[in-house]
Amino acid sequence: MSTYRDQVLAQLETVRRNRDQAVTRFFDESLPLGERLQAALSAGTFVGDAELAKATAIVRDVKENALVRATALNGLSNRLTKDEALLTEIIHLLGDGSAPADVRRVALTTLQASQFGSQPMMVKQRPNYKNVLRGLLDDADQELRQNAAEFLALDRDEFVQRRLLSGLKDPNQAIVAPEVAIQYLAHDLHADMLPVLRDIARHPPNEAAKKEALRNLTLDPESKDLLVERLTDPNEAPEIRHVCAVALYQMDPALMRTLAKDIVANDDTDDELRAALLNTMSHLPLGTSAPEADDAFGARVAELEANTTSAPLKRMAEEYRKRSQ
Amino acid sequence: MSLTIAINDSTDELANYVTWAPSPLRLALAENAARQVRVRSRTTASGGRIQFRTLDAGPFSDEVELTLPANAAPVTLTVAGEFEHPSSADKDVEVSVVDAQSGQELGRKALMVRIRKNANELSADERDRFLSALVRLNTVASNGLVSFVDILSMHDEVSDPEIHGRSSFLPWHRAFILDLERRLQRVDPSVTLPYWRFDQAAPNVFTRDFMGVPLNDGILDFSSTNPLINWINRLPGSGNQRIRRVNGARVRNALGQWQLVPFDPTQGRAIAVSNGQNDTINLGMPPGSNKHRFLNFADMEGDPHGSAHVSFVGQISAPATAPADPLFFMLHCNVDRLWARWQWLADRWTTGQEDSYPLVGQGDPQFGGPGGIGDFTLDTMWPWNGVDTAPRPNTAPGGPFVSLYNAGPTSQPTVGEMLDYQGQVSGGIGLGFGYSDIPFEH
Repeated sequence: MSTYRDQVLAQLETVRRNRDQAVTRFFDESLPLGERLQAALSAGTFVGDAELAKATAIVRDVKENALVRATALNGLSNRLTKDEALLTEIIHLLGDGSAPADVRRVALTTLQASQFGSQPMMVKQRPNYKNVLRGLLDDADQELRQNAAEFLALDRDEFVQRRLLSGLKDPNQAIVAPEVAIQYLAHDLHADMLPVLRDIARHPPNEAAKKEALRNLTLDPESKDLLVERLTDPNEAPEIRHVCAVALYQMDPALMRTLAKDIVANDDTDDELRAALLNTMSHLPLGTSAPEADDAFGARVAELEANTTSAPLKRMAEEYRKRSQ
Repeated sequence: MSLTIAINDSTDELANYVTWAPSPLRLALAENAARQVRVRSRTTASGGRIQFRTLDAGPFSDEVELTLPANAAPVTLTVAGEFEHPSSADKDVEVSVVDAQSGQELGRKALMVRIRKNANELSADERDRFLSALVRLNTVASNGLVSFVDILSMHDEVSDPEIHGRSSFLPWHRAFILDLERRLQRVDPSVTLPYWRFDQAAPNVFTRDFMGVPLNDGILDFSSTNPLINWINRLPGSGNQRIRRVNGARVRNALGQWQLVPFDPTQGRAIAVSNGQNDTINLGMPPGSNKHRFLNFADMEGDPHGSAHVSFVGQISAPATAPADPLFFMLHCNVDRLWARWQWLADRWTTGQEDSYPLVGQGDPQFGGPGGIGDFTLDTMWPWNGVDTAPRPNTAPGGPFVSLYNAGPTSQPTVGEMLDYQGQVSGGIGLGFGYSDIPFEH
């Protein structure tokens, strides 16, 4: 075998020794807190019965410093999918509002990571975990609230969907900002959400919410005219115009391309928007048929490529020309 | 031309790709008399490098000399990419065959040393070719279908028990990302999947030109020239969301103190990952042992794999939605690379050896999950086996495995076929991929 492999094996051995020393230092209660925490950065996850037992004891010790408990729990992440009793304890800890926030936040991360391992015990505990997440929607800790809401939304949880929709209709009931609520709801967009999105698109509480509402109206035939209106409005923000282009593409690719060509050809249009639209036309096909030949537009794009001082626009004009050939 | 040059037993242009593993190079001279020839390479400063050997074993060299018989009788030697010198563009290196006496060139063939690279080290051209191919895979093709939808359907809530939380997690995901990579190569054959080293800072990955930067509301922002501005989220039931990827806000500073600020992946490792590369490899050797075992190494499914996923909040942080985020494939390419690296260092390629893979033989078709069907070396893997009845998932999207000239696996790959990806033990060219930092050594 090679010298290279021998060198890498030697590095592995060095890392192993350093790691073992780091673990020893983390568990050494006689050391200052800062040294223990810093040592843990090199400890990786805990392995072997002795380390696992010590780390578990630290997590369970309510008198222990919260940062040490959080660090110990972080190092137990590979254990959670093998120890149902520990898993259940950590789910309970997550929901315990009296436990330190640092420990609960680590609990949430390690539990969510465990969702990637579908052992029978994880499947069995999932309803329990979801119930705790629902409880976190009203938690005092914003980080926990917001992340719990997103994890539930990713899971298409109806409880959080109702809460998010209520928040969009009545800001006093909002658990997250409206643009974020729209994004969470879009993980599982129901038809009954569309009227709310239409209303936000026309009467937005802020520009970010308007953008997300328009983006997700791609499934709403009633909103086609609105998307066209926003795409073609020269006073609309360029980013919102592009969002409308991509949304319109999924409804009516031919119409989107026709409108986009006019926008690109217009020298009064923002160059970044022109570049973005050429990018879109280069990558999103016109249905399943071959691209239409459009010599006039092709000539205009060639002119842009030759004359523009905008680097992104020049590059996208070249890209479009190559793809059209 | 009187000389035929065939790489990977094919004259098809799509076969002109090699990795670090030996590939067959067949020469046939349609002349009346034999010729003594030299076989060497031609490349550019940034091009790939290749080497040759005339025997099945032994060292490679930059040039070999041999006799080509008359009348097109074929001679087969081997060609391989020279380690640490992959191509940077399609067909940027050539095999050149010259008359050994006169130096007259008799023929040449362009090829590519096509290797999976560190995403943080890609050139702008490599990056954009990858992104462009990915976006195209996610659009409606001429047959009216979107190839990427198959990929999404293979990794959702229905498939979760089949693909996670059991020994076949690593072999299955190796097949999964290879399936995607081959689909990408049908769009652009010069493309490979890059890997994201989640245990290192990645300043060139988390930019508006590549994987995006989150806005205040968590939605990713891309530059106007990034193909990903056209990325359509095709998860069933989703709206038209742009991908969300909020950087996890639970940072440990250099002193190990916990702080509630979003981590910056351009400055440090994925925040929830505890096991760096070498710690991950060392998981394979449990305390008190000097022997690497797959069963111990497989703990990496939790940390670093699961931890890398939840270092962000967004589609990538849940199993059923994670593949909707393109970062998923670079994350899993690194997971696979870590396994490949462990295999190389621990010399664990052999099916039938429990330290290489613990479940040897066939699973009981009545049972799924850990230790059930699909978890054993001789079991075919869902969905490529087309099985859609319990205990397997009730759909089998995507059809048979995407073929690639003479590379493995078979159209209905088994778990065991995924182990020896370079053909270290089995011979042949393996599965047709390689990593930039893992050589072929046999």
